Amino acid sequence: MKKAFSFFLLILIAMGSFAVRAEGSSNYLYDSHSRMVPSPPAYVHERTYMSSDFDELPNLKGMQSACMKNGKIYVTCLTRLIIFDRDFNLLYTSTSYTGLDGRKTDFDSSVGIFVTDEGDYYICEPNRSRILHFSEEHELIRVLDNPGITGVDASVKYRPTQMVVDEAGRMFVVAKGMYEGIVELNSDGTFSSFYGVNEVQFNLWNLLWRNISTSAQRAKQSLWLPSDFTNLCIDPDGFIFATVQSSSAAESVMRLNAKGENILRVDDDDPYPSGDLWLNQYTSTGAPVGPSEFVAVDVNQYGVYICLDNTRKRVFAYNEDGKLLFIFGGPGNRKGYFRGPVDVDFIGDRIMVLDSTAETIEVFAVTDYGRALMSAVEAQYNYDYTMAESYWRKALSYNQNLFLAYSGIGRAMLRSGDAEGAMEFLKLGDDRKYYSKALEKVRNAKLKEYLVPVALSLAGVLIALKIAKALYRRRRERRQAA
Amino acid sequence: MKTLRKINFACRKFPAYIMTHPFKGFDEMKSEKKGSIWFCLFVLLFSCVLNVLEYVYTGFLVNYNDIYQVSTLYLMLVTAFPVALFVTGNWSVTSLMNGKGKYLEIFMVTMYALYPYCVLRVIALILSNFLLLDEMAIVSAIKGIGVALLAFYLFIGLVVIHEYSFTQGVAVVFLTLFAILVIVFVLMLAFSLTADVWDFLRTVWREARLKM
Repeated sequence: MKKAFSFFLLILIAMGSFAVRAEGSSNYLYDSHSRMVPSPPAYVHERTYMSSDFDELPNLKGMQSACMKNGKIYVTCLTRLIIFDRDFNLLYTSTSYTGLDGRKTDFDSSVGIFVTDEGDYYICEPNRSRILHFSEEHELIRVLDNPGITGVDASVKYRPTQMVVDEAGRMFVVAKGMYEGIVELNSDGTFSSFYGVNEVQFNLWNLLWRNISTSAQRAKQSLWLPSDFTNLCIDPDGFIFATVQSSSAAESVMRLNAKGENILRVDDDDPYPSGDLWLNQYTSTGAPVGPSEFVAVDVNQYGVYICLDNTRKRVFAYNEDGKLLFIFGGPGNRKGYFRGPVDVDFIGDRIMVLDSTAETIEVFAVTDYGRALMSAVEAQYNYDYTMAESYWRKALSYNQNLFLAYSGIGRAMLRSGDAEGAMEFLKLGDDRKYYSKALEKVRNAKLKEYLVPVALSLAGVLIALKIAKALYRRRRERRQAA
Repeated sequence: MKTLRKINFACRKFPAYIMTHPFKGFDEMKSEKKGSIWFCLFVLLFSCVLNVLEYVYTGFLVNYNDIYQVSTLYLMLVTAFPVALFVTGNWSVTSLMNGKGKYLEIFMVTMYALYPYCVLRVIALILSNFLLLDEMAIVSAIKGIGVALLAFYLFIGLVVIHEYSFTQGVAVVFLTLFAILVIVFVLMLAFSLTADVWDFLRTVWREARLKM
């Protein structure tokens, strides 16, 4: 008994030491059956920046949003604008600006920020219903007030919170409480139209229920509102990534084309990129309940997009095909966990998360495994399949649960002509589309080789049987006659 | 030689005869006792095993099952239980509605009707391993035909052995479905009550043990 106990203790200690050694946070992925499988960390916590790290910053209260452009990181706190270079050396900070009338004005409720390729930047001020447009030298160029939105209840206040500007200078603004969609402005700041309109989702059952309930009951039911856009970013191809807050949360991240349609690529067999697939049901444990709710999104130059989940404070990364790449973060006070994350951004090959509650900027660095994974995705994005294969193999040596790697290797093998070997990998990677292509090659080659001889020999056997039968019958008849 | 001929008749000739002459065939099964109970048991067992085989060996392209977590017993019961349910349900309805078929005959009719479906499923199973994604419609078409045949022969068989008219037959089908629902309901009630009683006995036993 004592022996067994000490053995058990030994195991516990061993497990504990593993737990200490395991770096990273939320080290898991989902397999093709939506089950969690362990995975090595692709990104690990590198550094935490606090206001005490910078002499000129008294605090980092009310951090809202960040934007990385031209090697500079722009961060808005409600009443402050901060600009770092990519190594987090403070370049500029200010709590006020010189207005168009020459008077000094304090920042108030500055939330969203967007920086153009030319270095101009836009700041959204929802409480003052306006967007400020600054030059790279921090001079106010223009103030974009309420653009005169048509077709909306006049009592709804225009409160821009997030925005992006596309190459043609058109502005796409997320305004709080505007359920009609994203506000699209012309380059001169006039209202163009609503963009990416969300439709109210209801079904027959709801409609029936709604019709038979009394007005008092109806007043108590929640309003039927379409989902609300929360955050935006623009990808290198000019498409707009948007996160959506919704009770049903069917499509919580979207990629919108010029017509405002969702063109996010997802395979038929795959679940829609929606963060966690296994969801806690038990409210009593105090753990977060319900589906993931994305509040921020960023995309890098080879189509990888990262989404920040507000429910479980995790960051989910997907490639351009909507395949899950890695997960990190989680709720908590420890290194690599977040308390109130509000925005997530790529900074070169690092990832930055703004933690508004902890008033910190958390920077995550890529691991060797993560680098192999991201390089493979990049090579695949650039149609360099041989390069991708070698990176996939490297990533696979770190993580045998990386289903994407199997299918990546399989696709590369299929392209180089080894269809039979490809089939094995594509099966492991659960890649049915390409497995079908590989099977076609293998099957047709085999058919070509064996069809004629097999058919001929079958026919031969059949004829021989017929003859034998006839002979047997004749012999029997003769015997009976005799 | 004689047994071989018997097996050939039971497994090939008579089912084929029923397929081609369903009214005559089912009638002869009933009145001339031409059907084989062993063959029917074989069909039942075979469809049970086939369900397991389908779960595991269906081609990868259409097989979304997690083949590393499979309960063979469960898959077999899932096949056998509905058969028992249907036969019992049908028997309990028809015995009230002047049906002439016996319990065993209903079972045999069900199995003879199931036979072509089983054969088609085997064909579909094999084909699914060699067809591409675009061609998988063939597999589902074969299975669809199988289901249609099952319904067709089952209906004719039941009408013949119970000596019903067409309308009576249709009515009995719906009543059978209703009877199945009732049986399932009673079973669930029985299970949950048994669980409750069992739980009560266990609690009593535990309390008693603590007092001792």
